[in-house]
Amino acid sequence: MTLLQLAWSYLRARPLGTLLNVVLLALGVGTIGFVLIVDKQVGSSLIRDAQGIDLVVGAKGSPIQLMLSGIFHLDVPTGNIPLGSVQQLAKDPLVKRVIPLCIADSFRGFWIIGTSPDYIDLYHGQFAAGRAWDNRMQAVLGSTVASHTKLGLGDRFVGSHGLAEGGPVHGDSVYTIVGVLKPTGTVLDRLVLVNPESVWFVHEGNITDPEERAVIEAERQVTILLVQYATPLAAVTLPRKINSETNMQAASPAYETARLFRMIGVGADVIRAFGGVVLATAALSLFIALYHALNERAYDIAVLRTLGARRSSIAVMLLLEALILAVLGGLFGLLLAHGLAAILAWWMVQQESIPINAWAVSTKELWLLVPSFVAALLAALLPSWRAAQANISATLARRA
Amino acid sequence: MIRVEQVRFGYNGGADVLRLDEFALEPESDVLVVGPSGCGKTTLLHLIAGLLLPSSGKVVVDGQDLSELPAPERDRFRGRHIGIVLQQFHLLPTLTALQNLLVAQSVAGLPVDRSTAHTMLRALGVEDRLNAYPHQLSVGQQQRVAIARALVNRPKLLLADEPTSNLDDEACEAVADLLLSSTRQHAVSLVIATHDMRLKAKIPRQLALPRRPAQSMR
Repeated sequence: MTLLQLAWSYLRARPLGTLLNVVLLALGVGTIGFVLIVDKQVGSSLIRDAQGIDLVVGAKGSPIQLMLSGIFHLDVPTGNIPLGSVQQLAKDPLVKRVIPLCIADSFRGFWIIGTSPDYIDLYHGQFAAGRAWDNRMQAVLGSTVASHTKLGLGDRFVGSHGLAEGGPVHGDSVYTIVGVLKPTGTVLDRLVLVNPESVWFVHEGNITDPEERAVIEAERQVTILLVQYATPLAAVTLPRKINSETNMQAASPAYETARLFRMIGVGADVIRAFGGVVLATAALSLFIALYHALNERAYDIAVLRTLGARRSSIAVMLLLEALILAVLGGLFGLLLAHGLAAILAWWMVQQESIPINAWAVSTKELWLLVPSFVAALLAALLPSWRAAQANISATLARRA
Repeated sequence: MIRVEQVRFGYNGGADVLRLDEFALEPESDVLVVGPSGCGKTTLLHLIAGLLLPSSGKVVVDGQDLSELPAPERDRFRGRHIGIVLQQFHLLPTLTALQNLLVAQSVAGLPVDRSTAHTMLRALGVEDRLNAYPHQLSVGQQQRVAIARALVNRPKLLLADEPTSNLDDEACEAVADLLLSSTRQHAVSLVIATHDMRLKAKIPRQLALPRRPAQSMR
């Protein structure tokens, strides 16, 4: 019969009060934990997607839209740019590599991207089966696309214009799947990759007249250019050069991502603050419970002292009660945080949005128990001290 | 077992509520502390238990001057050497009968020993209610468990504060017999503070405290 067991016996004796305090603590920890988990998962997901891309170039428009569409494929593109600009930019000595993306169609809500195999290398993609395209109308599926559509090597499908499912279908242009990628944890998993020729072919149709063909080929466009710098110096001059000397727009993923985070961050801060308020409420509720316990249990405490309990033991008993609640509230809070993240993850998968690993548990999360402990300790401090100082003789005499 | 010398006690330097020049109790003997209400019977019991310290004078229990012990040591000394039975026979309501005995061992810093606790509950005739909570026990059973708890650490002295004041004649007799028989059985000295005249037949030796000094001066 240790002090811990004694403390637990009192918590068990008033289950509703205990439940209330555990729920309040769990809500506080859960809310704060949820924000941390989502923040971290979204952040690392975006960072993975943007790695190796120094500059996104596309049609004029909102730079954030350019980045969202060009890197994360979460938004529609700002427009198209002439194909000639690719060669022009690739010749620039400041540029190491240019990866073109032609974005026009989708397949069951997943973008079909006309690009070069460099795009797969950018995310260190590896083939789970098959190989890259070597001709038009051959497609490589990202791992999420493959698992969602349950399609594999040799299967055939048609794209539809735009992103919305059920949009106009390019029924006469059938893609054949020649490769499926392993999961990379990046945006690559959610894309269908094809040759740019394929995208042009789908929209141009099979043109046989050489004259007409020459005209159309001269008007070919791409949507986005992903640029890797040859030298860090490029960061200073290249974006400005593109923005002022061409009718294209350049956006720096690092800068735009930070800007985006600052905007989302306000929302995260609000939720975090809400979690803090709930935790403060939990501390107050706990304090009231313990303070009441002092009066209800004055005689019990006196009896414990007659049995030989020291002042410090009485204080420790009350502190232990608070700490048991802190541990329970903290653990349930972590569970709640992951549960909420799992719901959000499920929802984001439905939205074909950024993947979140809701059940990735890190030891750093144990730090989330700290606010729970701090709240419990603050709440228990005064009651414990009062209990320890109580005049036992007077308490006993009053009852007798 | 107990030696009280020139003891004065008053709250916060106020008038003395208790004056006792000399009192001694031999091992394995019993005494009834009697006197009018407010004469300081409970105060004397609390002084002997080390719950209060005298303003002046000495209280020596089992050879130990209680004033010489630092507070934590005094608590431990009380837990190990002095058993206390209160008027309400108050048991901790969230613990079973057995756990009430185990917690007494634990807070006195003694090893938790279930077999001793069992033995003591058996000696008081409540071994079949080990796992009952206090509210599930009859008043008589609660009294027995409380006495078993007071004796579980094998004290040499048992202090009882008005143990019979709310009881009818039959229950009074039963509690008195229980206290006397169990203290005899375990070789424990017994001090009962009471104004219950019915006990005088059971315990011949009496310490009569005079009316409170402050009151008599009035």
